[in-house]
Amino acid sequence: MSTIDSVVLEWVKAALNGDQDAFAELVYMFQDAVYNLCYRMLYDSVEAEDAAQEAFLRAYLNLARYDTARSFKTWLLSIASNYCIDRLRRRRMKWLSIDDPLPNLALREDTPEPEDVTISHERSRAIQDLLRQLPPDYRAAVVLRYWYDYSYVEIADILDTTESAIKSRLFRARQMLADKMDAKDISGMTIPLLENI
Amino acid sequence: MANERQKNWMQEALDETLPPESLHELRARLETSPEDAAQYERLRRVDRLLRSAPMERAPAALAVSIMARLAEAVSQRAGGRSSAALALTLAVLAALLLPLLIAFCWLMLNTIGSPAALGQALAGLNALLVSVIAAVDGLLASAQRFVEAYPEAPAAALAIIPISLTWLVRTARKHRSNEKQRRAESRLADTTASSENPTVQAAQVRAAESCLDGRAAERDDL
Repeated sequence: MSTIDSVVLEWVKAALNGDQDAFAELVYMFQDAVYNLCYRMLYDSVEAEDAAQEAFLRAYLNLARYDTARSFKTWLLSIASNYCIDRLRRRRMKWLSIDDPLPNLALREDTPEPEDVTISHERSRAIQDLLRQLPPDYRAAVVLRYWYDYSYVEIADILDTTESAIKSRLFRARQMLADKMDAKDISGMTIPLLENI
Repeated sequence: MANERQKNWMQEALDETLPPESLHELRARLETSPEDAAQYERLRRVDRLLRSAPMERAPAALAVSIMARLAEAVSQRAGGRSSAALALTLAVLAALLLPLLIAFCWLMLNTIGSPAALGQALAGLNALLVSVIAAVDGLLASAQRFVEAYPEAPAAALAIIPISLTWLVRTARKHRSNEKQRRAESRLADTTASSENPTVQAAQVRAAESCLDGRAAERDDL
């Protein structure tokens, strides 16, 4: 077990004993990871913030069920991703159009340089536009693979499914995204492909 | 055109999970088939685009919002626990009173079963009713005399009823509001004393302040 893992475990134990300061440390440590997952899944900063809050709240209330043999981050992300998938399914049931107006993507105060921000912002938006066209399960697999660099096995563990199901989702998702990219012709956003396999 | 196995290889190559010998075979295939090479290029564009995606940072206030929501949930849970404790206490009390109730029923049945005891009980009840009726009669006679002496008293009493009711309601509301404010203030004071973590402090202060604001609004409504 790494030093970080043992520190996290200490915080988890303290939080289980009612120490809210310890849980606040966990929030500080994992808030970016959880928020990014929610944002990539839900495509809306306000909804992502709400989902991240809900994920942490559920984690706190179910902390006693956390298996210390697993990574806390993986457990937390599994709560967040499953919550986002449910939320997307409910959203679909409410017959919300996928063509609703673009969400609030306002730049933050702590952004570095305007030009970098614009490029990053445009790329982020292009990716979000593509991602939102994927089914929730596929989207979750893609986000966990590309933003968190999880293996097929780890993603399967997080999404409570099999490794082959994750492979299949990822492959199909990439194929769907390639088709969408062809249709939208957003190749200008991609990095020049210089390397061979 | 690539078959299913080769398509899977393309995907696994992107994920860097393809074994070297299969990778070599795939390379050979791509060199000889422009169609497959184009297909692989399309997938690789997607892969590169996704890999270049930035990580979204959480808003600065997210941690505080989470801790505020958590504090609220914890206090609601505590409220639920106190209700459960009350229900448990009542259940224990009922269980303790049950033998007394059984003994009372047994006595009642015995009394009803014996005619002499029943007669005695009825006579006692009758005497009690007679004395209650006599007391009420005495009260009514006194009231009648009072009204004869002061004819304006009934009208004054009728006027006092709505005024006193309004006063009672306002006093009860004020008392409840003061009690809630006192609790919120004490929570605010505890917060700064109990937690050293600034996020927890900020969250708890925010929760307590919003509680105080709510109380102030309630007082304004009054």
